[in-house]
Amino acid sequence: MVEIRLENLRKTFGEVVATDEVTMVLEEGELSTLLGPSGCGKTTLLRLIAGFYVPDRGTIHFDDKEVTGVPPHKRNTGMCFQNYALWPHMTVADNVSYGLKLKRVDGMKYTKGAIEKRVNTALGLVHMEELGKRHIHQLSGGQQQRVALARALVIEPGVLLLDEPLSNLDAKLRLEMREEIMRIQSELSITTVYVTHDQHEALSISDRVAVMDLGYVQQFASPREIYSDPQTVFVADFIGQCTFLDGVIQSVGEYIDVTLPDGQAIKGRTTIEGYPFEKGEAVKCAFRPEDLHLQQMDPSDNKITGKVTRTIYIGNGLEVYFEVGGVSAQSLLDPDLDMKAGDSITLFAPHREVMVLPLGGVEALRKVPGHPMATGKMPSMASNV
Amino acid sequence: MTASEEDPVEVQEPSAIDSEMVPDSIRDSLTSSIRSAPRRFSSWTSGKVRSSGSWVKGGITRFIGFFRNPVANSRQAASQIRTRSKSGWRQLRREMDSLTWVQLIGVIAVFALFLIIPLLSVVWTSFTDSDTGVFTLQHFIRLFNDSNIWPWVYNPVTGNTDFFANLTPAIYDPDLNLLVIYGWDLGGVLNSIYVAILVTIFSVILGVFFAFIVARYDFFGKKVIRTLLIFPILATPFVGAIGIKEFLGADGFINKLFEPIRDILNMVLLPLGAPIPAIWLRGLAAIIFVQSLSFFSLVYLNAYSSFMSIDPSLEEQAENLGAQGLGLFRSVTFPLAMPGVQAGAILTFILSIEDLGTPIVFQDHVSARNTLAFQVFNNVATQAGGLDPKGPTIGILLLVFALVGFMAIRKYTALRSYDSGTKGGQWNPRTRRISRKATTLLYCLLVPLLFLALIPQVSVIVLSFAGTWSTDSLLPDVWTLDNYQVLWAYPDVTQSIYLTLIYGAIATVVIVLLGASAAYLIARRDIPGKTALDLLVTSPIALPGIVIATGYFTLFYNTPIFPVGGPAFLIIMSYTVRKFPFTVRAAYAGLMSTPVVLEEASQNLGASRNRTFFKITMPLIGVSVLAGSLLSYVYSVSEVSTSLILGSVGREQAPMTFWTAEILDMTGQYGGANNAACLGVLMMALQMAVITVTTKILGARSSAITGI
Ligand SMILES: Nc1ncnc2c1ncn2[C@@H]1O[C@H](COP(=O)(O)OP(=O)(O)O)[C@@H](O)[C@H]1O
Ligand SMILES: [Mg+2]
Repeated sequence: MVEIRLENLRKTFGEVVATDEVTMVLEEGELSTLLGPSGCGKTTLLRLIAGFYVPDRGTIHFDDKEVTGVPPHKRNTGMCFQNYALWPHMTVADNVSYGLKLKRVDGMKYTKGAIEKRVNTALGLVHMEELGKRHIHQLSGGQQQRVALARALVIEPGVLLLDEPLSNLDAKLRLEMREEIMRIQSELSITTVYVTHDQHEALSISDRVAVMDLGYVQQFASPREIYSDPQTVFVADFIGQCTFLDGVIQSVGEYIDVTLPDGQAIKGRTTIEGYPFEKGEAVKCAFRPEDLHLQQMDPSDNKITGKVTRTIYIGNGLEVYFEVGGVSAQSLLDPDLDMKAGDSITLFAPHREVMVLPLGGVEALRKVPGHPMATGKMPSMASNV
Repeated sequence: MTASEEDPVEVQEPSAIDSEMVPDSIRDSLTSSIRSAPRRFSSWTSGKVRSSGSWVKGGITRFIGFFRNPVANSRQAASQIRTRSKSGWRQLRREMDSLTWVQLIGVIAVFALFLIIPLLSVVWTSFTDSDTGVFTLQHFIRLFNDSNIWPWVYNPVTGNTDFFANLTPAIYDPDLNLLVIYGWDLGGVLNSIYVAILVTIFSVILGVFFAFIVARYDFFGKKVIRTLLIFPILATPFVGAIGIKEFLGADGFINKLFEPIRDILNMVLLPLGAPIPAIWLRGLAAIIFVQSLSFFSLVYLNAYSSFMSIDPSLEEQAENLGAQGLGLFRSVTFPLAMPGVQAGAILTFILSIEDLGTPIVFQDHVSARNTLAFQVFNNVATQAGGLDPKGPTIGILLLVFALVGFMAIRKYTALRSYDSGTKGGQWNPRTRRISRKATTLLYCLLVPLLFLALIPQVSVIVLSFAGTWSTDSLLPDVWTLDNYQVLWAYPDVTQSIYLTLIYGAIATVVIVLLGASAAYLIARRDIPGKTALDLLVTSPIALPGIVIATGYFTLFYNTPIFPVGGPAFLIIMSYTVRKFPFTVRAAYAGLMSTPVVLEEASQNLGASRNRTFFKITMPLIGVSVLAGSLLSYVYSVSEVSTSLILGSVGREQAPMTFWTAEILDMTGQYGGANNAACLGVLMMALQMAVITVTTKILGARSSAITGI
């Protein structure tokens, strides 16, 4: 098992900055996801780890060994490419045994029998043991996916790298394979980096998720934390639904007092430990649809008033869209509620359900003392735990 | 990673793992890889390289025997190749990167030595005074005072500019009712240009027509038509010209064929004073005819692959918006196919201007001698001792035309070189079944055109089997195999056949060794100067062979690599350089249609770049390289211009094409067109065999590669 440490990585292609200032530790046996919209630099980061690119700046360590300049074939990573990259001129078994035939441990190589045994075991792991003699073009998409996985796993890589491995599969197969990958990963407990642009996939399989945008890792945390404590506006927006209201800070205490442009006052919490909010700072107040309620729980709850613009019945709830000071807000309410466009509406949100986020994305994070964005160094062990 | 109980892949105890591992000795891995891989494609590839390695060895040894005075340099080159193939194979597999360097340097060295420097030396010779070495434009001035080259000649005596052109393109002989057409004679420069332009126009019309019909319509007998259309690709205009010359004569097959019709019509027309005459094509007119019928296949191939790669939805969209028929063709289809057509057209232009074989066959009329290619030949090949700068100077003119054309091709082909890479999914090209009636109509058009297109091949074949042939008979009176005795009547001719095959084979081996590597560098490695390398290795397609051969004379004549009477080594090198682009382009196309991730996946699993190249890349592009090398071979074997020029100073070492020209020129028992045609048939049979194999291997892809 391998711990991967990325420190202040940057990779550019000519003018394009594909990824920058990436500092993170992927722990032994952990399944981490790189999540973000298309073009945000996920593949670039993965390929930096695999060794297909050399970073312009920064270092990569596998455990204590620096591998930044090590060529791909000496890194012992197993990669599953997005389009599988199975060799059409070889059978399934040939594809899977390829890496084993090359593998040397202390100058020793595997015997023919050992290779065969291991190939069978690996194919068994992905439920493909019967199909070793087949050619690649005789396989379905899901089967190809499995072969690619077996090929990467059979060499017992220290690191498993998966680049959108399920994006070419239909919905049902995708769920199946997702389970399969999770099962195998936890059985073998290989440090795994998984690239996807699908937030459901990311949240459901990962130990931790790195949300990326414009080449930066905006936040790297557990799925729960990513959803409940997003550190940037982008993360809050990208994961789940969220309504943002502009505001200006009135005062900073246990909670933060914010005034909206139309005069309404809102109290919320910060999600970034240690961020130095200041009075008068422009911020965004963010809340999830399910955190707005019709009933007031506590007299001090935030009160938000607006005009309903649209309602959508979705079975287990009623999505109510309403306008607050020119901004469209979204709430998820009781499906039995009778409400229609034009009605005025008043909703309540407890203080801890409203998130006050600084503007400026990752730039804001640089103001947090000890944050990797500020130091370009590994987070201290304390904040890592 | 170490073994652990929870790890299902790693179920063994550490000691058990030890027994699964054996020491990694190189010999073991070699023998085991040989033993374990026989049925796999990869081993086929390594086997191919291996066997070609030993082939080189054998071939070289045999080839050395043919040198009268074994030449130090060529022996050294041979032993280099031998050493490489013998001891180098092991390192080759492990040290591909360093080998890549060797091959990169090899490519550059070969091209510098046998292309760039000879061309520069031609430039040098034509711009300097041969006695003093001082820069001068004198040679050009003299050239443009030669009425064979340029029609407007200043006369210092009268102070006038005299005009020497022959502006009568034909003579009519009323007694024989014979119209002899030979074209306008405006001097070499203008002749070559207007001939090339007309040839290009005719080729484009014919080529685009055939390409469109074959690419877009399904009809009864299409397979046959497609097969027949492969034949013109074989037509080096030189071979075709031998047959056509006889067929186009005053009493030739064509005139005989139409004589009955003409006689009937003339019964009516003669009283009116306008009879239809028999036609005899000579000189430039004959060159235009022959070249058009040979080179249209280039346009055909390029246009065909363009038509096939047009996304059908583009045309469907236009139809959906109301375009149809000719309008659709003019507004959408043709513009989309334009890059291919243009590339084919420009290539036709270049090849027409540098073609030496056809003027030589038709040199009995003065206008055919007044072409640039012939003038170079005439001024270089005949006086090899002290070289008259006139040859190189005319060569410069040719070179300029060729280079301009080449740059234009690069511009157009660049647009489509990524076709296979970017278009993603495959589609079914739009073909339309046409009705029985339309098919009949189509055949009324196709049959005469095909007949025309196949005249070069058919006439050569007929000629080779013709015995006595009385002047008033359509076909030979007697069919015979006797003509073929020429193949062993002269030892030099027999040997030239053998030599030609060997020259081509050696050149092809060198081309494959260097070409696959060059393509790999261009397609996969991010090295500086990549574009220049690409330009360098594809340019020979456009560079006139006669100019290169001229360079060999100005640079190497009377040195160890080109001793008096010993052109063999340079013949091989000229084939290598000139036919290099076919293999590079094929290998490049193969690489472009092979996703890079397939190679990356291999590296990811622990294979070095070198190993990846041999285990993954080569098997995947092997077929393309094979096809390209077969083409290189075919075109080497049928090469005319350098063969004729270099062969003329070493007849014992001259290749087949040289002897074809010689025999055509000879009189006596084994001389003349019938015997020359036998060599032509042999050549075509050889080409046909290789092309058939290539098409078999490649299927539909072959057209994309044979088309430049
Ligand atoms: N080989 C390359 N050459 C040039 N630009 C590249 C290359 N690879 C990626 N990029 C650019 O870098 C950015 C990040 O790309 P990528 O890592 O592939 O994103 P993702 O995988 O998240 O979709 C994009 O803007 C892309 O255009
Ligand atoms: Mg990607």
